[in-house]
Formats: sequence, C-alpha cells, structure tokens
Amino acid sequence: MVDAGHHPKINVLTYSELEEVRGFVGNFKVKVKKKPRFVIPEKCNGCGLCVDVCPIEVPNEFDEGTTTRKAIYVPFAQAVPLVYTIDMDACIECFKCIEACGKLEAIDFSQKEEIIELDIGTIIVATGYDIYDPTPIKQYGYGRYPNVLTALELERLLDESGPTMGKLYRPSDMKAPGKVAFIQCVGSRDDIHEYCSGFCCMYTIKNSLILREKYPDLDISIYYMDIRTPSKGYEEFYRRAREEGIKFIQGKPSEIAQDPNNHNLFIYSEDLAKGKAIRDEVDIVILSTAAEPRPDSRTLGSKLGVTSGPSGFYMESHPKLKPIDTPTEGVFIAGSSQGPKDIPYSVAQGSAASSRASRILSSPEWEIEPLIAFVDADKCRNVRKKCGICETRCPYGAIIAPEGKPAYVIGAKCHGCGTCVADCPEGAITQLHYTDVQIVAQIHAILREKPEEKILVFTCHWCSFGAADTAGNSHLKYPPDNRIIKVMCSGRLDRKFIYEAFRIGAGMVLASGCHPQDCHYITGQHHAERRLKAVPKILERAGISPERFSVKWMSASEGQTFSKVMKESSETLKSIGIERIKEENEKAKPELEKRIKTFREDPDVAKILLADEKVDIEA
Amino acid sequence: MEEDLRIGVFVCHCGSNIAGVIDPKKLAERASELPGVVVAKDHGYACSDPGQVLIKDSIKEYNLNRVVVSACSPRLHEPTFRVCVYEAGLNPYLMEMANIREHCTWVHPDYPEEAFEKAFDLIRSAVAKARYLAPLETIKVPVTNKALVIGAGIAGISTALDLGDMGYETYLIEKEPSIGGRMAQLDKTFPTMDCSI
Amino acid sequence: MEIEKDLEKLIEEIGGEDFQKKVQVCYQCGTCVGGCPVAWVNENFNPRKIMLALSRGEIDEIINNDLLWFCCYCHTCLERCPQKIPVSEIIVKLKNIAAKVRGIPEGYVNELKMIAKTGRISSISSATERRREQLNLPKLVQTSVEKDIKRILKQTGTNLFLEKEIKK
Repeated sequence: MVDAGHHPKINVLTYSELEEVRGFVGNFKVKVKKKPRFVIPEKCNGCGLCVDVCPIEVPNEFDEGTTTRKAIYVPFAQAVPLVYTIDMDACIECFKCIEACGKLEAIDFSQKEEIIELDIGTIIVATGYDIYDPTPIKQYGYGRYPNVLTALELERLLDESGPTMGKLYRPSDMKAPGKVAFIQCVGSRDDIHEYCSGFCCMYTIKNSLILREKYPDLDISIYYMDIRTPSKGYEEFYRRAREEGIKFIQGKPSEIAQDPNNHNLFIYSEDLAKGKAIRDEVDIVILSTAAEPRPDSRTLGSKLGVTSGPSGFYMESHPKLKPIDTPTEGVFIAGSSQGPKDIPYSVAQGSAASSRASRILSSPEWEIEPLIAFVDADKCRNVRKKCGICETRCPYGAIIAPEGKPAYVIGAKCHGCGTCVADCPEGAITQLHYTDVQIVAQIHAILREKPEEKILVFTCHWCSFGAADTAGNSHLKYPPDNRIIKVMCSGRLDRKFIYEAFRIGAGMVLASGCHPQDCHYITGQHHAERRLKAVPKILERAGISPERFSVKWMSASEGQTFSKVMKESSETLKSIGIERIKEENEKAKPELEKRIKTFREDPDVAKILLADEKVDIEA
Repeated sequence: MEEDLRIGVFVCHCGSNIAGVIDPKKLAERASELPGVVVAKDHGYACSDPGQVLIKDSIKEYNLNRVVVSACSPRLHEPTFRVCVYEAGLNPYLMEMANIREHCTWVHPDYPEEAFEKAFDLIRSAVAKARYLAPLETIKVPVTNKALVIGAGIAGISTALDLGDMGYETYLIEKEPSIGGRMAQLDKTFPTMDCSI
Repeated sequence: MEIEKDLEKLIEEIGGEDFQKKVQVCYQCGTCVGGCPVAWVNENFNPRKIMLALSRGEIDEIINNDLLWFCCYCHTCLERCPQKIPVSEIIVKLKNIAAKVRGIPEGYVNELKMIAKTGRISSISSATERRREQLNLPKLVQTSVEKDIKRILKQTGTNLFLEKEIKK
C-alpha cells in the first residue's frame, strides 16, 4: 500500500470514479470523476483535531459498522493517502472543524467535483467483490440476533487496531464467550449464489486459529459441507487447525435459534458423520458469507465493453487461455472482479495483468483488425437528399454523413460491428470480411442440400458464437440439424439474409447475439432487436409460420442456453414437418423474392443467386 | 474470379476429438470436390508444428491463394492459422475456419452420420466464404504508454506496482478515500498469518 | 423381477423422471435433517438418507422401510434446501408408490378406518372436550360421514386401499 502511494510512476487518485471511456486500444480517452474531499491534501497534516470537534457519528464502514466514525474521518490509521475526508451525506456544516484546523486552513467547503481527462493506452479492471449481506437468510437470524456475526465483522473484532482492540466479546452483553461456531457456505453453493466463494474455508480456519491462540480454552466448531484447500500449504493449515482442537462438524445448519433471556444461540444441524440431528448451544455464531459481484459492476462493465457472466462477475475472453483478457482489446481484468479469489491468486493476477498490458504499452504502435466498414460514395443517397441513418447507428462516431456529400468512415474509430451496413437503405456500405456476398455465399452453401431439414443460425462473434463454443467445451449435446453463420455483431444482421434463407428453402432461421447490456459494440444488439422485431409478421404475411424464425439473446457463458435453444428449435422443426415447410416456402417465394430485390443489384451477389437458380432448374 | 481460385482445405482430427466421431479423411475427400478446391488434406493436429508445415508446404506446392482450416473454434486458433498462412506468403485474411469440433463433434457424438453432414456443410460454408475473401491490411494505431488501473485493492495495487516498475505512467483510481480495499480490513492472512498491510 | 418393472411403471405414472432428476443435484449437506421435527423425535428418520437412496436408484429400499411414513409434511426441508430440491414433495410421491406396491402401515390403516367410520382419526374423548372447554374452544361437531367423508375417500382413491386392507 505504502509503496503504491510513494511510487514515482503511480498517480493515486482516491475518492475517484470512472466516468466515461472513449476510444480504442492504445488510445483511450478516459474521464475520471474526482469527488470533493473538502480537505486540501497538501495542507492537511493528519493531526486529527477536526475529528475531536465533529459532533456527527455514523457507522464506520471500514469496521463493518461495528464502530462509528465522525463525518470528517480517515477510514483507518494506515490509510494512503493519510488525508481527511468530509462525508457530505453526514456533515451538518457546523464548521467546527474549520475552527479546529485553525491556521493550517486545510478545510475547504468550496471544493467541487472535478473531472480529470486522461489519455490512456490500456485499462485494468480490478474492482474486487462485495460481501453478501445474510439478512435475507431469515433462519440464521443475522440482524435479529446480536451474537450472530459475519466473518468480516469478526475480522475487524480480531484486529488489534479494531473496535475491541482485538478482543472477542459477545455483542449482546460484552461477556467473554466460552463457545463459538462458524457456519460455512452462507449464500454460496446454494440458490442465492451457485458458485463456491473459494476463500471462506481458508479464512475461517485462519480465524479459528487466531481465536485458539488468543483463547486456548475457547470451544470452537466449524460447520461445513466440504473443506476446500486446493492451494499450496492450505491442506497443512487445515491439519494444524485439527491439531489445535478445532472441531469440524460436517453438516449445513438448518436454523439458529436464540434464547431471548440470555441471547445464547442454538444451532440446529445434522452431524453427517453421526447421521443424526444435533443441537448445539453457543455464545457466538460467525457466518462465512459469500463473495458477490459489486452492485455497479454491470454499469462499469458497459462503459468498458466488459461483459458479466451468469454469476455477475466479469467474463474473461477464454476460461483457460485468456483469463486476463476481455472482449475489448486493451482492457484487462484482475482479481476478484472476475470471480472470488484469495490474496496469493489476486497478486498473481495483478502481475499477469501488468504483463498483458505491457505487451501493448511497450510497442510504439499496435495493430488492430481491419474489419471496418467503408461507403460506396456513388451509392450513398446522402448526396441527393438528407439521410445520415448510418451516422445515428454508430456508437463510436466513426461514420460521418456531411450535408450534400456522401458519408465516410473514419477507419481508426470504426470497431467493425456492421450495424451501419445492415441499416443503410441503399446498400452503400460494406463491412470488410463480412460482406453481403460472403454471407450470402455461406447461406447458399449451407442450404444447398435438404434446406428444409436445416436450422440456419446467425450468431455474433462475442456472445452467441461463444455460447455455442461453451456448449461444445462442456459437451452439452443437442441435435445436429443446425448450421452456424458468424458475423461480428447481431447489428450486422440484415433482414435480407433471413428472407434469402427462406427463399431458398430453409427449414428454420434463428438470429442470435448478446444480451442487451452486454453488446460489445454498445448499441449493435439494440439495433438488431429493433430491426428483427418486424420479421415474424412479414414472414407470416408471406405464408411462413412465425415459429420458424426466432431471435435469442445469450452470453458467451450460456452454453446451457445455447444447447437448450437448439433442442427446442429442433423439436419445433420436427413438429412443423418437411411437407408443410416446403408448401409454405413455395407460397412465400414471390413475396421473399421482392424483399431481396436489392441483392440482385450487387453483381457478385446476383451471380450467386443466379447460380443457385440454375441448379434448381437442373434439379 | 472463380477460375483464379486455388483453395486448399485442411481437416484436423484433433486426436480423437474430431476423428473419434467423424472420418476426417472422407471429409477431406468430399471437400476436394467443391468448386475452387485444388487440394484437401487431413492431419492429426492441424495446430501442431507438423500440421502447420503441411499447410505451409501445400500453399507453396499447389500455389494456393485461399485456405480453409476445418478444426476447432476460430476463437481459439484463428490467430494461429492466420500467422501460419502469412508465413507461407499469404495474406492472413485469406484464411477461413470451419468449427467442426465445438460446434459439431463435441456436441453430436451420438449422431456420427448427421455430424459428418453438418461438418461438411460447415466446410462448404467456409469454402464459399473463402471464394470471396479479399486480402486486408491491419490498421496500425499509435499507443499512449500510460495505464489506468481501476480499483486499488490487492489486485489493483499489484498491477499498478508492476506497471510502475516497468516504467509506465500509471493511474490508480479508487472510489474510497483510501487505497487498500478488502485486504486492508484483514488483520492476518492465510496460510502464513502475516499482516496484510 | 416383476416388482421392479412395476416400480418403473409406477415411477413413470407419478412423474418420476422429473423428481429423480431433481434429486440428482443433492450434495448431502444435511440441512433437511437439521430442521426436521421428526428427526428430533426419531433419530432413525433421515430425509437426507432418503434423498441419497433415491439418487442412487435404491427406491425399493426406501419404500420397504416404514420410516418413510414418519414425514409429517411440515415442508421445512423444502423451504431450506440450498439446492431447491422439493424434499417433502418427493417424499409424498414415494409414499404414493409405497402405498401401491406394498400397502400402507397398519397404524395408518386403522386411522383410515376410523376416518371412514367417524370422519376423525381418533374418537372424541371426554378429556379432549374438557381441555377444549378450558381453552375456550368451541365444541367439536360430528362430520357427516355419508356425504362428505365418503366422497373424499372415493375421489382420492383412498377407499380402494381401505377395501384392499380390510380384505387382508
């Protein structure tokens, strides 16, 4: 901590939050909101006279609310920087602190929120985790029974500089406890959080050993389901606890009851080794509560193009091979923001993140993929009449449509989602590597034989294609009647692709992409959703059963969802039957033909369409 | 355009991951009949050195101008094969992948025949796209060699210290009044019982 | 092996595949036991072990053990199961299977007979009436056996059990 505070190359900006990120790898423009402390750091000498006169007391979050602090405070004695802060939510502006500060004049109530703009090459997200509040688990009585604590509250009580100078008392009567019990997996591995929080077994063992050292006669039990000690030296640590006489009772307690007279607690559990229900009377119960994602992690993630998995923690690019990378090039994740981690693991990830970042920072220039869009100036209608739809579709300001002139793309700003391409009314925009002709060629290749028996699936690169990969990695079986065509973003999905697929006989078409909040291109999914909403109606009018086209949003981690959707689609396809599909397609052909008319204006695409018709004639 | 095309298709066994369900040799045979394909070969592990040598040698021997690698997910090995064809003198964007592992053999082990047809369709799709691929040049952008670390807990502090030691200007932002995060709240840490601050 | 086949059929009838699947995720934490009021009275009754046997496919073992009938449907286990396994509802299904395969325990038969006869599981005793009076509770009323009880027994299929048991 102190090292970071003194490092000549590290600028510590505390009491500050990320406001906005623009730009791309190597060239991020970042706005940081610096909240006012109302104390001038250069003038404050940390004497604390202001604290003595402040009349306001509020719960101290650093001590998990076990103590109070003043409205003017430093969170803890070793804080870096050691500068006081006025909590304006609590302050009553009596200005006694100004008086106490006297000639130092370090207090300044006129401070305003400040926006700092930074040019940044790479960003590392290390926002950590939150502790689950166990109040909703009513049967454990947290919040109602004074002697039920969370592990972090105990952590503060055991700290020599904490509220009790490191001594453990029963909060109900400040008496020394004779018997304490820990309960593991509170809010982990259950219907609240499916995952294992990972480090609770170890910190519980640690706290039990600290208690043993301080109180050799204290009776200590740990109620657990499994003890997980996978890292170096951990199992040995567990053995040490057993040697020290800590009792390990396998069983997840069903309930804690309280004696209303003396606030003693009764734990109702099964002792699995005995196979019997037991009741244990103790002085203090400590709940080993789950780690959970920060409540604002999605908001922050969407600013950075970092998505969250089903657990709410940030998603890495690849679970094994790219654990630090995110879908946004130049943005990395480290520590518990990606999932619960202990200290050694977090430190290792910090080093890994700095190494990943320095790959970019150490090069004078960085190569980015050229999957960008460009405008055919001859086709752009903005010359003839005001259009500019493309400009409204781009979340990066990479495409500009000046009045009376053709639109143009700023290559370095374009992220290559293809949303402008799909929404251009004149078909004047092309996305490199995902051109109309390439995609139409794929549609025709896949549907060349027995098209009515196939489900054509359009996916985006980041999420739904990733979901299909996850289904594969997890070997989640589904029927083999689907075929995937990948684009970078669902925003690229032109309705004409869907009409063309049905025109040449597809059994079903499924369009997919990320969840709305996860779009790698900020708004691409939103435009896809809007654009595709009308498709079922249009298809129905043409004679195609609406259930033959569907739209599904899923994240890269949702292999289960992908597999389920494929199973359901396959069942739908079978229930409709090939004969009906053929009939419907035949009936819909003229209408679909009209809808893909502009494809014929592209000579390359027209060639594919023509080639296919020739095959039809031959058949 | 069509007459100039010289496409090579390479079907990976991935050990038994692909070959355990479908026959890559047969798949290559069928792929060789697709228009524009001049050669189709199979290999035990396309991503391995010998696999890449096979691709590179074939590019030279058959004067290939498009390559289709039918193997695992492009999210895994697209960079590998792009570099591979580049080293053989081809523009990296003239390579297209067909995912016949994650999207096929791993999820359809119970339907080997249908899985074969699906794999062939995926190759046919990749070949079709390959016909219309164009060489692309990567965009070079300048790099500001400054880093931003969001969150000053143990992971963020470690990152910032390493980056700072490497000599990069690093901004470490923290929403609380002090750095330290959760770690600062802990008295001692496992398994060595040392102090956390 | 006739019985086994019957069992499979019965499980299917009762929607068994569904509940057998649900129980597969049980990780044997014992929460159901810790909160079970019956386990406190009879330490041999253990819902966790019933779930364990079920997940291992040992259904005949469960239905051949009279302990199954001790569950009193307070649903505490179902409420608190961290894997959301509907333990008590599964026990109902198991009891249904047991009833069909091997009948119901004698105690329950007697209670059923009593219900068919009087509409109550036990007769109204003078002691009960005295206590109700002390507690200011209204007097117990005799239910119409002919109309309501018989209809209920018929509609739930309970009368068939009863006939079978009486024949025995």
